[in-house]
Amino acid sequence: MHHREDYQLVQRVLQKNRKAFEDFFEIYFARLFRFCSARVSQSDAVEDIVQETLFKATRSLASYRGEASLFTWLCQICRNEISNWYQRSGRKSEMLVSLDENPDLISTLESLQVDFDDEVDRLTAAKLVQLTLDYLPDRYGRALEMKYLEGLSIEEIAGRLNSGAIATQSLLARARRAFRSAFREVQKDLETAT
Amino acid sequence: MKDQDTLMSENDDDIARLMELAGPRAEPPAAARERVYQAVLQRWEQTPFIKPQASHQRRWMALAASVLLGLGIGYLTLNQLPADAPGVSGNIVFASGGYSIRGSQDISAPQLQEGAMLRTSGKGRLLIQLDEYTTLRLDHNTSITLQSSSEIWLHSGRLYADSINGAGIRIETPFATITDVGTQFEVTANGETLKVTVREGGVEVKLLGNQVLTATAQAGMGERLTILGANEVQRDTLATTDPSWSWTQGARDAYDLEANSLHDFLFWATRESGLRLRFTSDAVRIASDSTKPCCGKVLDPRQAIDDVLATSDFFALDGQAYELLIDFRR
Repeated sequence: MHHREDYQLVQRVLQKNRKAFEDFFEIYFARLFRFCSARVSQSDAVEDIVQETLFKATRSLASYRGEASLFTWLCQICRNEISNWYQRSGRKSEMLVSLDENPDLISTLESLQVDFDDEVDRLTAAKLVQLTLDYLPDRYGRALEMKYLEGLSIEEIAGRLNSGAIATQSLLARARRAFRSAFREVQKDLETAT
Repeated sequence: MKDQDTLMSENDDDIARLMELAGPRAEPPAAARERVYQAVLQRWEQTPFIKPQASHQRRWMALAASVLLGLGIGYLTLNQLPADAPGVSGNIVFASGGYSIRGSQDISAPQLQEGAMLRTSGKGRLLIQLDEYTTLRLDHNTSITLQSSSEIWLHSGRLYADSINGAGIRIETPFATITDVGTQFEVTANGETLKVTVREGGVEVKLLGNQVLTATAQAGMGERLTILGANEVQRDTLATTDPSWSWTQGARDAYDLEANSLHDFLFWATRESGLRLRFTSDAVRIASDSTKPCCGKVLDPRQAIDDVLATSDFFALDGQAYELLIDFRR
């Protein structure tokens, strides 16, 4: 699968397009921050790790081929940085989210047929959902938030996305499917992180 | 898993419930965002412009054409070229006093071949551009071999490396190997003593016994390692604005203000002076990028900062001694 939109964004960043750089930062900084915050408890370290990740990504963007999503590619760099940080600081790797306190969410997650193992059991649902949203294309995540958090109608979402009502319905259907699929990716990612 | 979600179905109870319970995504602190943004933007501005890539089909055609062309040229020139012609390791962009080059090198050519051995005289200084982002300055009585654009052997004397983009250049000396991590640093090798002083960023120093040391610069102070007789190490610090760095100013050309933006001038001048450049906001930084500084060429970067700002709508706020904080007159 080729991630064409991500690839095109990277190409424009490489061509020194300022707007593309702003978009790149706007889309991925907060996502990486959340990705890192779920794995490192020191907030100043999170900032340093994310900054170093973006430094390295900026230097290596030319090697991005669009074979994985840009966020997955960035997470790989970030994961290495986190691992380096743990090595340097002599601390033990930790996952910072726990599901233990919310049985309602556990049952809801189970309805998505997520396989729970010891690691996922320790996630809080809020962070798990937020990490999942981060894995989605930006437009999908925003559409889901508008619908389910802001309670906007299809017409209102269409207005914000400069799209038609039918296209927005279709977008939401695709976003929901992508959400379920990304949920598994997050799970897999957390399993490989341990 | 519920994969049957179609355009017509509203099969979204599970996701709706999850989203409601999870709430909105947490936003990072605004101050952290701003700091990281400024730092990454600065790095991005230093990265090279990459031409758009051709489509797969055009790439393959171009590749095929270049292979054919290469074969043709190879056939014609195989017997005329030396089997292992050395590549280019750098260019001399400034020279004062005298210097000599040994190796298979034409001294009149600014391009330096791999393996070129350079020696500056008692009054000589050189500035060598290794790649787009990395320069090397040699002080008086310094002898080096340019093995490649990223590997330099320092035989004796003093050199200063400035690597904006963390190119990973390696300096080999009789007692240690020094590798940069995106930095400015100085290496002095004299007899039994080796000194490594960091002005920005950090370096790794690998001693002969494979012991690895690091030296970094932070908050206007750079670490200096003095290595005596291969394994005795002393560590102290030197201010990034210390006058002892000033020899590096004698190994470069004057800076042309009119060919650059105010932003670029400030970036250059602070880097040359050992200061850290900051703007009060991104809007100020962007405005400086579209402002032309006045006028002519400058030699002393520290003095020029004051002079140039005085003739612009920008000014320096009082702040840390090791940084230049720029704001806009409103």
